[in-house]
Amino acid sequence: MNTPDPDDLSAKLRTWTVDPKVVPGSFSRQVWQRIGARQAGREEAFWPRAVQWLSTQLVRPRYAVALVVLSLSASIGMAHVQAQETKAKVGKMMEARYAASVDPLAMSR
Amino acid sequence: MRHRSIHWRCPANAAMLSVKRGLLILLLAAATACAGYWIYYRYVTAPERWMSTEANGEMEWLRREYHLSDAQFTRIEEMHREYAPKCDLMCEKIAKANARLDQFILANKTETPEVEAAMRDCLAVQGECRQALLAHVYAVSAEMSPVDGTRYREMMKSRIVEPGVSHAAVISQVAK
Repeated sequence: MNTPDPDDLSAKLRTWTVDPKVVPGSFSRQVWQRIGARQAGREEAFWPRAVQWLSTQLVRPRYAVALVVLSLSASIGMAHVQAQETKAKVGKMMEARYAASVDPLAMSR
Repeated sequence: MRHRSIHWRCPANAAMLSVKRGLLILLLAAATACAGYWIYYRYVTAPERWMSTEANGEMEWLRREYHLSDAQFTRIEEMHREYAPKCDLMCEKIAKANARLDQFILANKTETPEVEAAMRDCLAVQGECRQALLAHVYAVSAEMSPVDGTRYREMMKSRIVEPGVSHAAVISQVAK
């Protein structure tokens, strides 16, 4: 029995490539490939990725607390401005009411 | 294959859970902001809401606006109580004089001595009322601190100088 030359064997092994053919009946593999492609497409879309990123950030306690504190501060600031306007408006109204209560001319109108 | 299916589902579920939790935190922040706004606004404007619904709210406004102490407020309230019937009487006199003038103007096609007399009477009554109001304003302002008294006279001045016209309109902005 002839033993092959080890150099020949090595050369053949180096050129040998495996090209597996997908078995025609492997339905589930194709399904998974499609799911994978769709998932990859979805991951590349901007908004889903932005929402995903925001959600990931928000669930961190530090950011969640910061968001709550920030929105509370903003709302109190807005309430303060609104309250000052209301106070000024009611002040004017009360001034007119007081003046009318001591002014006979205003009362006779 | 079952193993692989678990591998594919987990990231999607985790992402969905993360989005849900993120939304929950957003809702919580929005709810906290709304509650904060409502509570702060109600608390800060409580005195104004009370004053505007109270029958004697204008006196409470006077107390707050001109920083009156209890003693000052009691004296001013007393003066206000004494002045009120006089004010009512003057109001009645003005209304009668106005009605008389109105009647004469409608009855006469030309300016007659009766119309002139009614007009003079009307102006005399109004002048008398202005005088009484001015005296009351000085008496009230004398009870206040000098700074608040000046502010009070400034506020009431427009009512005496040009009744019915707002303070801002009476005092020229250009002349200031």
